[in-house]
Amino acid sequence: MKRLLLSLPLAGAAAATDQVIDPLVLDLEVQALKEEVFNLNRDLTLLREDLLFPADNQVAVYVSLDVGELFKLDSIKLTVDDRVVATHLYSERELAALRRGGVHRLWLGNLPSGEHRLVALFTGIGPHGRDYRRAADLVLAKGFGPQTVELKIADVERRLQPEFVVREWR
Amino acid sequence: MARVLRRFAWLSVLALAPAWADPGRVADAAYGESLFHYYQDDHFTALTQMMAAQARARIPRDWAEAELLKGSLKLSYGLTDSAEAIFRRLLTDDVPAQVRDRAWYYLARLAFQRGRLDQAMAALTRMGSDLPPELRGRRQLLGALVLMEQGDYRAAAEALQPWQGLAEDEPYARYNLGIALIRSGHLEDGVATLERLNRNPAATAEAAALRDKANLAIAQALLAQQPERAKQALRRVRLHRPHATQALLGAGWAEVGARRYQDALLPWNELLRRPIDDPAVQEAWLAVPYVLSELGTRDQAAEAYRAAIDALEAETARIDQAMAAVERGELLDALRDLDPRGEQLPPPQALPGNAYLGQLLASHGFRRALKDFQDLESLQANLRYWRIQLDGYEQLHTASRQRLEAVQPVTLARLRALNAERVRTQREALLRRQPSAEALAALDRALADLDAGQEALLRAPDEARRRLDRLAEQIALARLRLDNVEPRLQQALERQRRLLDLRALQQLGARRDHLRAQIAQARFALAQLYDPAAERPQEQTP
Repeated sequence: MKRLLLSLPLAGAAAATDQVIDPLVLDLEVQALKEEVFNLNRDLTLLREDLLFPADNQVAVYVSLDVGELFKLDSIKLTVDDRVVATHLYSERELAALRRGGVHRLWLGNLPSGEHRLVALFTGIGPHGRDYRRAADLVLAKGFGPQTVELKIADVERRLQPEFVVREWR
Repeated sequence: MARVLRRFAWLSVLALAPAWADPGRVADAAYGESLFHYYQDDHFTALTQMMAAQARARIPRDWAEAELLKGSLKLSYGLTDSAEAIFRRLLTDDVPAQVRDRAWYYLARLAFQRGRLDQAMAALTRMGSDLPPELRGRRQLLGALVLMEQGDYRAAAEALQPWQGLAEDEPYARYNLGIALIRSGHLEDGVATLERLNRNPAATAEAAALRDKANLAIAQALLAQQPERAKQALRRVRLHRPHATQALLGAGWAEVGARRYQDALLPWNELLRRPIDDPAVQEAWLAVPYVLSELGTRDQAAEAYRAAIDALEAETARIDQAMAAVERGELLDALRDLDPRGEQLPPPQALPGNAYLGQLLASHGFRRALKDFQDLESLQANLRYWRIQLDGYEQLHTASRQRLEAVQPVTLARLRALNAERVRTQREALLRRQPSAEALAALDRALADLDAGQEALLRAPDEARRRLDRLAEQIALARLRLDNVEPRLQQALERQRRLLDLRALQQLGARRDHLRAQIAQARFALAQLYDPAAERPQEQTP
C-alpha cells in the first residue's frame, strides 16, 4: 500500500522537532481515541444513572407508535400520583422516527416501592382531522429493581380509531 | 471517474436502514431508544444509549439488530476495525438471516473501500436470495462497482440489468450502467442510457448534479468522433453550476475538433468573463490566443497571450495568498460546520483558494479526514460537558453522604424504639396465660417482622455507605480517565488539522506549479509568434 508521509512542523513547543505525519498511523490513533472516548462516555452515562436513578427506585417511561395513521401525536403530559413529571411536544422529525420504529424515552425518574398511578394525556389530531385528547392510566406496583412502562399509540383499524395503552414493558 | 463511482458507493453505506425498519417490531425498549436517535441522525446519542444499554444487558431480544446498528454507527464514525469485528460476529447461524445479509453487505463495502475487490465480491455472494428491494439494489450496485474497479466493464453492465433495487436508487444504477457500456465499447448504448437521465425533471439537487455529470460523460465520450453531438450534451449542463465551465471549455474544443475555430471563440470568450480561479477558465485564457493564431490573426493572438500572462501571473499571486490563509488556519474555520457526507461546499468567499480545493474537498480521503476532525472536536466538547457534570456529581455525592450521616442517628433511635425485647417479654407472659393459637401466631409474625425490620435498618446505613463509596471511586476514576484522554485528544486534533491543511497546501502548490507552466507555455507561444525563423519558410514559398 502506498503511504503518504507529510512533513509536519507542529504548533507550539513541538514545532522545533522535525516531526512527520503518517496519515495511516494518525488514522489508527484517531480510531483508538474515538473508541476510548465512546467507552468513557458509556461509563459516565452509567455513572450518572447510578447516581441519579438508583436501580431500586428507577422507573423509565417510553413512547411508541404502531402505524400511527389515525392519530398525529402533538404532545404528551405524564403525571405520577397527580404530579406532572414530564411533558413533551413532538417535532416532525421525532414523529418520523417514531413511525419508523423508534421509541422515545419520555421520562426517567425515581419512585419508592409501592403503588403509583401513572396518567398519560395524549393530544394531537385524530381521525377526520379533528383535535383529539385522550388519557390512559396505569397503577404501577413498584418493586425492587428498575421498571419500564410503555405508552403505546396504536391504530385500531376495525373501529378506525386510535388506541392508547399504558402498560408495563416486558 | 473512479472518484465519482466511489463517492456514490460511500454514500450508500451510510444510508442503509437497520434490519428492523417496521414500526411495532422492537422488542426491547432500549434498542428502540437507540433507533429513535439514529433515525434523527443523532448518531452520537444513538451509540451512547446503545452501549450503555448493552452494558446493563437491556437488549436481550433485539441483540442481533442492535449489534448491526452499532456496527453501522461505528462505521459512520470511521471506526472501521471495530465495525468489521462486529459484522463478523453476526455471520453465525443463530443470527436472523436478514441481519446476516446486511452484515455481509457491510463487510463487502468495507472490503471495497479498502481496495480488496475479490474479498468484496466474495462477501456479496454470501448474501441470501430473499432480500428487500433496498438491499437487493445496493448489492447489485456494489457488485457492478467492484467489477468496474476490476476493469470488467462488460460484466458490470450485465450485472446492472435489469435494475432490481428501489426506484429512487435507479438513476445511480443507470449512470453507472452508461459508463460501463461506454467503457466496454458499446458507445451508442452507453450514451443512450446516460441520455435517459435527461428525460425526467431532476427533483433534487443531487439528481440534477448527476444529470450534469451524465451529460459531461456523454460529451467526453463523443468529443473526438462526434463533436456536434458532444456539443449538444454540453449545452444541457446547467450554465451556472459547478460543471458549467468544464462544459463551456469542452464545447470550444468540440468546435476546434470540427475545425470551426471562429465558433470555438464563443464559449471560450464566455469563459474569459468568469472568475479566473477556475482551471477551465485558465485553460481558456491560453486556448483563445491559440485559436486566434490558427485563424491567422497574429497581432490579436499576441495581445491575447500577453493578457493571459498578466492574468495568470496575478492568479499565481492569489494562490500564494490562499496558501498563506491556509497556514493561518482559515481553511478549517470555513470547513468546521460542513457536513462531510453531503454534497455542498462552503461559500467560495469563505474558503481560501476556493475553486482549486473543490476537487480535493469532494474526495473521499479528504472528507473522511475532515469527518475525523469534526468527530474529534465534538468528542472534545462532550468531554468538557462531562467534566462540568462530574463537578455536579461530586457535590451531589457529598450532599448524599452528609444526609446519610445526619439520618443515621435517627435510624438508630427508631431501631431502639422498636424494642423487640419488650415484645418478647410480652410473648413469654402471654404463653403463661395459654393464649389461642391465632393470637400466638399473630404475635410471632409481628416478632419476625420486627426482626427483619431491625436487620434491614441495621444494614441500610452500611449499604448506603458502600454504594456511596463505590460511586466516589467511579467519579474519581472517571476524572482520572478524563485527565488522561483530554490532552491526547487535543494533540490528535491538532495533528488532524495539520494533515488537512497540508493536503490543501499540496493541492494549491500543485495548481500554482501548473499555472507557472501555463505562463511559460504562453511566453513560448508568444515568442514563436514573432520568431522570424518561424516565418521565413512562408516568405520563401513562391
